[in-house]
Amino acid sequence: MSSDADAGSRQFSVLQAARVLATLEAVAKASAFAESSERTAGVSAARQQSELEALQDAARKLDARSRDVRNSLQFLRESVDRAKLAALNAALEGARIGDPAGKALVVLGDEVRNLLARALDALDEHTSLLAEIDRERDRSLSELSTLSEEARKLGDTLRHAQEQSRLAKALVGELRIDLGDILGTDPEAARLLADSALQVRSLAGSLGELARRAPVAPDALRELLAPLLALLSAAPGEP
Amino acid sequence: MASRAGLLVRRDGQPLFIPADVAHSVVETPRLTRMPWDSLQMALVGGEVVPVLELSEPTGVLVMCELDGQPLALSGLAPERVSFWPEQSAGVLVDGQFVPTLDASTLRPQPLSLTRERIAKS
Repeated sequence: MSSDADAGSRQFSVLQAARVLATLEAVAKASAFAESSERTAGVSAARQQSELEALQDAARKLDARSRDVRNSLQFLRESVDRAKLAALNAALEGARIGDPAGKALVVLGDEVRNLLARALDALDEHTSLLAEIDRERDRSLSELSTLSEEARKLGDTLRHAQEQSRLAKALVGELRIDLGDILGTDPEAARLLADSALQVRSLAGSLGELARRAPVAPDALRELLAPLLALLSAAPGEP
Repeated sequence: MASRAGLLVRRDGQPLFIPADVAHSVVETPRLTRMPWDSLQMALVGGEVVPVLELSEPTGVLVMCELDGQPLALSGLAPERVSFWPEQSAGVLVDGQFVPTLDASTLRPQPLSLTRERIAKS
């Protein structure tokens, strides 16, 4: 009976070891999955950062083009101002010639000045629209800069997490080996043993149920089941 | 009612009329040189040195005038329109409103020597 109890105790240790090892294996798999996910997320974050930087470059190029447009508008404004002066001087010349000969020149000069004044209004409107676009572009550029910085930080965090997951995976592997050494159990054998024990438990349960329902041969069955039941009862806390 | 041709300008927001026989043209303000001991300024316009009278804050243009055959530039005036307007005594009617003529006699720059004498006396 003492050897049976030892066997039961040893079986219990093996079962526990098998469970711990199975848990460690699950942890190792989870670490590997986390590492893989973090790698994928890291690649995605790097791509996003690169796209954000490309957008920032495009916005900066837009700034240069906007400056060109502003210069063109300024040139147009100066030209229209000069044209207005020319029209005024033409009208003044007509005024000096006097009525009726110079009146046509005065009227024409006045009309041209009115048209040029409208052109100046349109130019002013364009200038203010461009200033508004510039403000919006600056705001977008600032937001892009913030997003790019956040993407860079996210990439760094993911790289760090990936390193930690890799380290956790390695540590779990080492732990499995150490535990195997301590328990004197080969992890693979322990796993097979645990699987077998579960199957035996299931079989014993089925046979016990059968014996309860068919009392025809209970003694014969009890004899057969006795070693198995003793083995299982030596493992308290097992489901 | 007789009409009079000329240039309508604004000086500090107030309309003024300059007859066409006084105002010749309007030019962009060139570089001005202030004369020492005098409020008068000088400018080079069309290759000619012209005295400039500052009537108000600069507007970016000079109204070129001719007084007694002498060129004179006026700064601080904002030109608005050129037209023929009904003549009134010492002014014209612009859209029913009386606009005084810029008094040419007050525009004559005093000789530099007189200005010096005045400063010395004061």
